[in-house]
Order: sequence, then structure tokens, then C-alpha cells
Amino acid sequence: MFSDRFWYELKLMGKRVTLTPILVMVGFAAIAALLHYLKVDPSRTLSAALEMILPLMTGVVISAVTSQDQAIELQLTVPRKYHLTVMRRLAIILGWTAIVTLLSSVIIAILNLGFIPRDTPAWTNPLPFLVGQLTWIATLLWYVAAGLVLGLLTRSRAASAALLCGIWIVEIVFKDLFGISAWLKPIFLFPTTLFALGGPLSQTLFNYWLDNRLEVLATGLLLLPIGWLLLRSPERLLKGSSEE
Amino acid sequence: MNQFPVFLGVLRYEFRMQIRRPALWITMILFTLLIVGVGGGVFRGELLRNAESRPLLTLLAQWAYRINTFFPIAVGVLLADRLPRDRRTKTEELFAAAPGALSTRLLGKYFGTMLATLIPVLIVYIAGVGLIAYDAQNALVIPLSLAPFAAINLPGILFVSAFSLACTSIMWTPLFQFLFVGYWFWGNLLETRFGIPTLSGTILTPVGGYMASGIFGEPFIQLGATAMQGVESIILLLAITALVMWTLWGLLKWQQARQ
Repeated sequence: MFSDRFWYELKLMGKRVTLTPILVMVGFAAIAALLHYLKVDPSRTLSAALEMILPLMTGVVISAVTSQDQAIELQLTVPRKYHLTVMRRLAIILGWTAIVTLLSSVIIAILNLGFIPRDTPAWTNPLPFLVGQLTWIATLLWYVAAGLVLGLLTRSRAASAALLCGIWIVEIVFKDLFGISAWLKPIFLFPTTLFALGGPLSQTLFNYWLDNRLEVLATGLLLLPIGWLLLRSPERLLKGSSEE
Repeated sequence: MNQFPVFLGVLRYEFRMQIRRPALWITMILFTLLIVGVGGGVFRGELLRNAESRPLLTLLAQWAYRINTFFPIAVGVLLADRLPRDRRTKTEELFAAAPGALSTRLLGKYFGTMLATLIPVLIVYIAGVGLIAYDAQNALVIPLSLAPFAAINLPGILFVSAFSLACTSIMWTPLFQFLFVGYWFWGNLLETRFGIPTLSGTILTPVGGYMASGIFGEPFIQLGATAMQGVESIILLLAITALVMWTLWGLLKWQQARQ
């Protein structure tokens, strides 16, 4: 039963949802090869793919999938609660992107192109590769939660995608401000790539990075219950479903 | 059949449809709050730095450039679903049966949706112009502000709008939306010192650095551009816009013929 629903949801979302993260990474592999040919170190660009591009892509896809459902009236009449259906879809997309990103991260590490922050001396962090995965895990979870909340709040694919893209570009343009402001630090999503934090770092800088990753993870986790609550309001779900 | 009334009709209808769309205003209001909330202090600092000694036009160009750093993203993403919407709502066949030519309908849709989406951008621009006028205690700022908007913002937004309509006729809308924002950073804002091949720093940049720096002498965009390069950049952007719209027309015509 569980696997039937899983495959059904996967089919319903279409191949484009499963193929997009793979195509993104294939594209970045080609860019990395070009940079290698041009004698430019591709490690930071590959880090950008994991930390900046795949989370944004997932957030936009999540907002598209959750903001509108053509069969919403029908969904709300079936015994299975709609919020559970959406959460299942969200888990599938998040899980699939996480698998693609993790595999890409392993391949990048094998090729010795990793851009992982490491503390010096390394005694406080015995598992640098695993801790380094926080580079993308925190941002991915944050973007997934933000995509869910914005999709449900705006009830519009275009508005939620524009806002997710807006957050992305604002973080890049005002990166210095995000880096130093205490109130912006918990939502500073791309410090590893933007501040070039790959490789050995001083203990202070490493702690800053680790604190930031945990704070981003926490703010992402805080957004999820908001999305959950928004999903439990049938009136909200029906209202605005045809306004696009 | 005279196509001009058809063009005006489509333009008017698309304009109204877009301007009344809640998503447009929700996006633009939240977008503005996000940018001003995070970077308002930075903008104010930039605009007031040596403001008395700088020509008004350079201040206005700087503001127009700043607007253009962010808002074309919202414009591009908001226009991306206009063509797929016709398909989704199954009105495409109905339009094809109407007497208006495909090219006329396409142009009407392009200008109608683009102009409506430009209105909130213009409001934000005017708000900044008002602040500059208040600080400078000079009402001349208001008529002067039209020139930077026309030279810096308009070509970029025309360019972005054409690609938004064209790309989503062959591409999944969410895919285009995130690729577009990626392009915007890579092709406009990425510094060339990293050695990554980029369009950034060339005249093919819809963000408008060459116009701001070359035509208006904006000093903080260190491109060292000439006025001629600014004009070349505008011409190139407009020519590519026309080419993209022409290609889109050909593509839609081909798709229609295959049905």
C-alpha cells in the first residue's frame, strides 16, 4: 500500500521532478570540466551547485507542487487527509534531492574537489565529511520549508517562486550584511560558497560556520509546522485555487 | 483584417488581467519589503554619499541600476507562466480560431503583461526618486528621472520579458524560473576576477551597468564604459529581444501547424 502510493505520487509529479536535480548536477559537472580545462579551480563552483542551486531548485519545485492542486476539491473529500498527501510529496522531493546531492558530494570528495569547512586543529570534528554535509542539508531543508510556506501563503506558483528567487539574490548581493548582522545570521543560507569557507578554518571561523548551519537548520524546522498548520485549513486551500 | 485594433484589444486585456492579478502585487510588495528591509540602509548610504557634489543624473542612474539589480527577477518569474497558462486553461485553441493573427496576439500579450508588471517597478522607482528629490530639495529630479529609467530599466525588462515568454513555451515553468535567476547572477552580477567565463562585464548585460556607467557616468559601477558602449548595449538588448520574439512567433506557428 505504502509503495503503491509512493510510486503513484512519483508518477503524478512526472519525470521532470526526478530528472531536474540530475540534469542540474550533470550541467555543473560539464561546467567543472570546462573550468578545469581553463585552469580555474572548480571546487567552489561545485559547492555552489550543492549549497545554492539545488536547494533553490527544490524550493521552487516544492512551491509549485504545494501551492496548487488541480484536484483539490476531490482531495479534500477523500478519507486520506490532504496535509498527509502533501507531506508525502514533500518528503519524496526532499528525499530524492538529498540522495542526488549526497551522491554528488561523495563523487566530488572522491575527485578531491570538495569544498568542506574543516577546523584546525581537527580534534573537535572527527567526522569532517559528515559535518561538512551541513553545507547543503541546512540550506536544502530551509528552502523546502520556505517553498511550502510561501506556496501555501500566496497560493500562487509565480509569486512563491519569485519570492524564493528574491531571497536567493538578496542573500548574494548583501552577503556582507548577512555575515555580520546578528539578526540575519540565522537565515544566512550560503556562507560556505559566498565567503569561500572551504578547507581548513580557524576555530572561531569554523564555530561561526557551524553555528550558522545549525541556526539555518533550526529556522527551517520552525517553518515546517507553519506549513503544516496552513495545510490543515480547507477554506484557505480552496480559496484562491483558481485565481491564477 | 486590420491587426492594429486586435493588437490594442489583446494588449488592453492582458494588461488588465495582469494588473488585477493578486500574485503580482503580493510578489512586488514582499519583494520590496525584503530588499528594503535588508538593504535599505545600504541604498540610502550609497545615494547620500557625497550627494551634494554629484550630478543629479548619476544619483538617479545609481538608483535605477539598484532597482534593476533585483526587480527584473520578479518580472521574469511573474511573466513565465503567461503562455503555459493559455495551454493550461485550454484557451489556446480558441485563440487560434479567432481572426487575430498569431503575431498580433503574441505582441499584445508581450506588451500587455510586461507593461502591467512594470507598474509596481515604476512605483518603487518613483518612491526612490521622491527621496532623492527631497534630499536634494530640487524638483528637477522628477523630469530627469525618466531618462535613467528609460535607458537602464526598460531595455533590461524588455529583454527579460521576451525570454520569459519564449523559454516557457519549450520548458517547464519552475525549471525556467530557477535557471533564470541563476543566469541573472551568472550573467550580470558575477565578478570576472574569479576566472569563470561569464557574460557579466560585457555589453550584453540587461542589468544595465554599461548604461548607468557609460551614459550617466555613475561612478560606483567600475566598468569604465563610454557613452557609446552604453548605447551599443541598449541596441544589442533590443535587437536580441526582437529576435527572441520573432523566434517565439516562428516556434508557436510551427507548433500550431503540427496540431
